[in-house]
Amino acid sequence: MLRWIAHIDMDAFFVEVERRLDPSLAGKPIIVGGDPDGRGVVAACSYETRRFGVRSAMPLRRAKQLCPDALFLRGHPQAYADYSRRVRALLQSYTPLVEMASIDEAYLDLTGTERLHGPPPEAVGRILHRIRSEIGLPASAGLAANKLVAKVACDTAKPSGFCVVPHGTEAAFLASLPMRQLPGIGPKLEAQLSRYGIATIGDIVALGESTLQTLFGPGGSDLYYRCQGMDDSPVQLAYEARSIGHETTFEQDTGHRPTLERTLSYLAERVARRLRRHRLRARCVTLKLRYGDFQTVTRRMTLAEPTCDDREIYAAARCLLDRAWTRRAWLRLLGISASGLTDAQWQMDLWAGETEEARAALAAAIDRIKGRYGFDAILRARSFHGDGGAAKKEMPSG
Amino acid sequence: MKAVFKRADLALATNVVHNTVNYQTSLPILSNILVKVSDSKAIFMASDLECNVRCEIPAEVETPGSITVPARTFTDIVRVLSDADVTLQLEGNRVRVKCETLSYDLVTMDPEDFPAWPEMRSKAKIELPQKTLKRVIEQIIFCIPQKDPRRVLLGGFFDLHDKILKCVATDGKKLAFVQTEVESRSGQEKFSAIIPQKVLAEVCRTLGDEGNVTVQMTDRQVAFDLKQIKYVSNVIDGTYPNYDLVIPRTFERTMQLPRGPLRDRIRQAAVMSDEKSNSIILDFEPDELRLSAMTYDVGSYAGSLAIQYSQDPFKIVFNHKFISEILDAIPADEVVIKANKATSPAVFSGKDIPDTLYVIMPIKLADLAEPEPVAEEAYRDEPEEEEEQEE
Repeated sequence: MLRWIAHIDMDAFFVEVERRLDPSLAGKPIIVGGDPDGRGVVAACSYETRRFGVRSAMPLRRAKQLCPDALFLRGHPQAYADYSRRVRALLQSYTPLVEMASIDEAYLDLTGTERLHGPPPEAVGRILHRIRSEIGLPASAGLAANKLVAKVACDTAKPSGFCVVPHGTEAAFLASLPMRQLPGIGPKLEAQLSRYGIATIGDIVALGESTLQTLFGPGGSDLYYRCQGMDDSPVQLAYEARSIGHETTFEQDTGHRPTLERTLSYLAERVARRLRRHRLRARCVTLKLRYGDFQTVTRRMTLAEPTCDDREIYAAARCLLDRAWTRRAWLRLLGISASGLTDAQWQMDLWAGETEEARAALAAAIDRIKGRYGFDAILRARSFHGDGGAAKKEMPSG
Repeated sequence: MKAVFKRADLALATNVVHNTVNYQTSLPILSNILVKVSDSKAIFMASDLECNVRCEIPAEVETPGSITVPARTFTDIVRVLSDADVTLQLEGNRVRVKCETLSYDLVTMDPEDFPAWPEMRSKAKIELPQKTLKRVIEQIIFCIPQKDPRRVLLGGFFDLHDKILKCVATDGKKLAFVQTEVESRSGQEKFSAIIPQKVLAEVCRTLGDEGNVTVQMTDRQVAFDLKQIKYVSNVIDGTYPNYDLVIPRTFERTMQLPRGPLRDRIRQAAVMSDEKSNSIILDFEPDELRLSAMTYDVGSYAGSLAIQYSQDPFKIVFNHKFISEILDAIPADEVVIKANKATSPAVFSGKDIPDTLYVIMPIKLADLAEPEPVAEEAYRDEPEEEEEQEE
């Protein structure tokens, strides 16, 4: 059976949600991310600002220099999550195989849905129409035989477009595109390839498999096939590919150990809370730190047992901080993420039996309070001010 | 030094000591075997500084003395020699191994550098049949984890109360408990030691069906004396977890199952079990056990077995590997499982074998857990941020 994979990507998602909340913002240049004089980065920017060179993940101060007239919004993360859920619910009415690749993009496996929804290109057209009419947000879509080509197709169709790549034309479709359009080719690989006079994806294919292997080892042959639009990665249900993470950029760089530990504790509580909300446990904890000069280091640790307890995550993160923070330089950012998520089952420990139940009951009680009065309503003492006036969270990246 | 040996004796001696040799050591002498000959016998010794082993074999001694031989090479030589008399002779700084028409010359090191056999003043000494100790070790050793940050778990716990020896091993998820009466005891009435897994495995390998073994313990060391073969090993320092706490004493329900058919069913279910957790679900109904297993994206298994059970239906989930290992170690045709809740430990034992039992902690399934009410956050001014990121 022919595979049909659709990639649906919301256009300037945070910006469009802001416009839904405040219609007077329509047509104005908008940058979501927070205080332009602060130290955060651009979480999303409207198409009006992109002409000035503003891009996601750019420091806000730089964005302001490029586009001084833009409106800077702090954002409404809860609203983004709500809209994302609504989009997901709509997509799931077409197929259960929906992979939310991030808050504003999804892959749908439409293989074998013809009898239910008609030809996939028409079905995707209807999906886009319904997202606009029922939820009120613009979206773009790509439809192809696999996730890789669907994503590239969607990127070429933005904004508010729809691109179908018929079966068998994947290589031809990709050939004329600049190589950066292919997921997996970043600035480093681009620089390396341009030294050989390569500009488009087709140029890479023309090098041939053996040359690419010589240049890049086993990864070279992978690149060769990807450049021809071959990819068989499955559409995965949400939890399988994910990690849950939080990070904080300090208002000022700091090397003050108690502040760092407070922040870690706070982040651990955030991550643990999210794990419990999604009824997940994590096997791996990753610490991310960024020095004042933007050098970024991550360290990962695998736990003996999957956990959703902030104390265990904090303990792991603190241990990782010792391993990661090797330079005698101040830090700009700290982040914790939990991965290796399992939801279904875990082996209990003979000695932890009683305490684990008590801890779970405590966590449930704390979660009820947080659910009712907000996350900061109840915190561990050591997390206090871990994210108060001294530090500001970076906005989620779109 | 010069002595003549029977090849079979050499094969025994090298076989006993060579596993203790540490080849990755920074002390080259430790990758050698020390051979001491005197009074028509030879003692072969190996040490990795943690554990020391010696094996005594008969020899025709022409010149007494000591030599060292490289352990791996010498073991390989003994393995390929024909079954005839073998002569070991020190010539200059070489050891010559002669057998019939062939000879090997081996590099040797100064025997004075070899670690001395540890002297110990035992605080407790027990004697029991080799056969019994072998059974006890076999019944607990598989519960010792290969690696664990809790170092004390990396050994078997020998807990002596007068003439009762309780042996325990656990990895924190399953626990083996075997109790036996020793034939004689001297020294302290209560004594305990954590004996490294590697030592138990080695001792178990050399224990036979005949004769007795003496076990001596101090705060730092343990010695096993099988007459011809002796071991002295360091014990694992630390406090063993209180195993009494986790062995349940009262039970809400008891099931009796035929061991062989249960083992077959577990093996059949294991094929479909989730690879990460190895879980299989046991549904106890009156006089019937229903087993099921499933792997997301692959499929599921359902099977059943007639059992003796007369209480209310009960569901519990276990790692099938734990059950299989335990069923292999229980020497009885009928197995008794005692349990309370689906989230509390269950006890497996052989029918009419009260001295051996196994405790297994179940696997918790999400649908067995208390569901957390998924309430929308009501307080909007301080929203919780959602930030999903991809690996």
